[in-house]
Amino acid sequence: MVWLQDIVYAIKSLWAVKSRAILSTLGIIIGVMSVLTVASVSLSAQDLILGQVTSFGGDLIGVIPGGSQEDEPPPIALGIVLTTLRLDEVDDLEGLPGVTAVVPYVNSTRTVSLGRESTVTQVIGVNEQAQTLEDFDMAEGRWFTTQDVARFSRVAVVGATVAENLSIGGENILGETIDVKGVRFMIVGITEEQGSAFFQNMDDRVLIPVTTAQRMVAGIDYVNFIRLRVSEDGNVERIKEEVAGIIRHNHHIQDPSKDDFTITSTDQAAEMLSNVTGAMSGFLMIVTAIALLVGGINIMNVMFVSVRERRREIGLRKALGANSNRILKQFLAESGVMSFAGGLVGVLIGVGFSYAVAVVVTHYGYSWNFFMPISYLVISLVIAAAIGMVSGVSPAMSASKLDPIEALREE
Amino acid sequence: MSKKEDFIKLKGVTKDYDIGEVTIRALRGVDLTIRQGEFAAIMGPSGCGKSTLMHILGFLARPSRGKYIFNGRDSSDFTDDELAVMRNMSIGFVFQAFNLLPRTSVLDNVLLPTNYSPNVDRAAVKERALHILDEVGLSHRLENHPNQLSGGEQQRVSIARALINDPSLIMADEPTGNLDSKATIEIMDILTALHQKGNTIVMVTHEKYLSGYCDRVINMNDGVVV
Repeated sequence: MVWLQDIVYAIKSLWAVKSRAILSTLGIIIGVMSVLTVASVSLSAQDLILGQVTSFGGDLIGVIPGGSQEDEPPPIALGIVLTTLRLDEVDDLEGLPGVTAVVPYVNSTRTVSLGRESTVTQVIGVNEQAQTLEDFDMAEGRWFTTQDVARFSRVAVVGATVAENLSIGGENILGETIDVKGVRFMIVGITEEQGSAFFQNMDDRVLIPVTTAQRMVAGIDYVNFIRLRVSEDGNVERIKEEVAGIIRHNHHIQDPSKDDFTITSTDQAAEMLSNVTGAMSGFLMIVTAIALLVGGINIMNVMFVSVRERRREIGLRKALGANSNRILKQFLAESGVMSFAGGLVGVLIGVGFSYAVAVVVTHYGYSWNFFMPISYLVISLVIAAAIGMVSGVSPAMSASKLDPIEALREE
Repeated sequence: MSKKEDFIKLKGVTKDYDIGEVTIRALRGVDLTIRQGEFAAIMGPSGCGKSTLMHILGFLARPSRGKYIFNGRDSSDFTDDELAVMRNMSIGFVFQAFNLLPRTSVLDNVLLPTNYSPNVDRAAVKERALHILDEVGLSHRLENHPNQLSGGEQQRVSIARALINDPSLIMADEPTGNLDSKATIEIMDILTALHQKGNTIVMVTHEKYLSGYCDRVINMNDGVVV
């Protein structure tokens, strides 16, 4: 109970020097605010990144051309186009147990026009299994059939954004004919809005049969990458091994270290990305923790000044019966209250700021979730108060050791 | 409880201060008895040791040698915390410079010593503080801050503060040193009234005419009572 009393007195005597108390807690306020903001934004960023990687749901395996020597930059970074993955390899992979879909991708960026409207977008060649793999719904029309792919059909399924960009006055463009690089495609379907996955806008693209894409749009005889969807009871690691075996056989490779392709899985990508973001947020936390430390030093400084200025008061209190312990507690309570209050304000600003970040990022179209675990709030408050107490120890000790006669004699 | 006669007893009390390598002997063997209910003035030129004697009587300092017996108890082996309790419960200090807490109401200033008292009944001490403030004529000033009061009023607050724990001994260190003559008379009248109610008061002063209020004058010179 004596502590409670001390805290009440501490609040009273701090209230008497309001503006100084507020200034001295500024360091703590900024420290707590930035720690909380960094923590919250890191959680949201991690969530966003993992959400992008796992947005198709379930486990995906990707096959990209080029080996994965860790000490070399990927070939794509050097502007080298790898042509080693072939369309017929998809057929070899299709029969694998535990695989529900195998989709080749042929990507290119093109101007797509309908009448006088035109838009620059991704034109992607896929096979009929892409809907199963990417797990999207059709808003209107139909999806590709096996025949569409086999017969080099000139049909297209467009994303919601493309449909919007190409339509004149909100008119339905289903059944219209679009022009891609001089080739005419009939729009047979429009996909539901999907947002983004793998950091690509899934609504701003045109899907066409992969065969048509190779021959008439991209003019290539290879594919950019292949994705496989693993069934729920499928063993990702085993399937990766089997896929690697088949492609090695196709490419006549004996030594796995000489692979001219790389196989990744969403697990792997998610793990790698969360390691990277984890390291980033750890680093930022350390930087902001330094701000908190500086805040503590600031409080220590102010407490020393305060003890120096109030020597007379301390002498008086001692003369009236306060023992050293009570004087110690009085000053510890003051520094504790100061930094706890600073922590409280810092928490409020930190929560507000992180929330504002979430609102702004969401406004720009990302699915940014706001995270602020209660445990973070409690921990920051406890740490803030602890920093204040620790910072107050040395000044409070010097106050408690004052000789009342000496202290009272001062003018 | 000891007899009235030897309420306070000093026997061969000396006090040395070490200042660097020099030792200053502030008290050189003081023998002194103060009876209960006495109003004693300690007088003497500055540097005679009257302040040091005051500090020892008020448990702010310990004698270097000799015995200080207060109300039958030998205080020689009191711990620092026990000294603090003595200052809190048995002594009421009135200072020359009032020493009130700034930015703190009159009532809270009077209640200040009770913050450090064991087992305080908050409502009872507040009641008592109001009663004492009424007696010193400040019941209309309860919520004022010290800087809004005249010197005489401030010293009355500090007397009220000295009385809050009903001390056995009131120590007044030049209580009128910072006051004009009108306020001086006011304060001396209050001290006289307290004396008449049976309080023991020791007052340090160098104003000869003030000793007229007291029933005993203790003259000091060069660290001894003369």
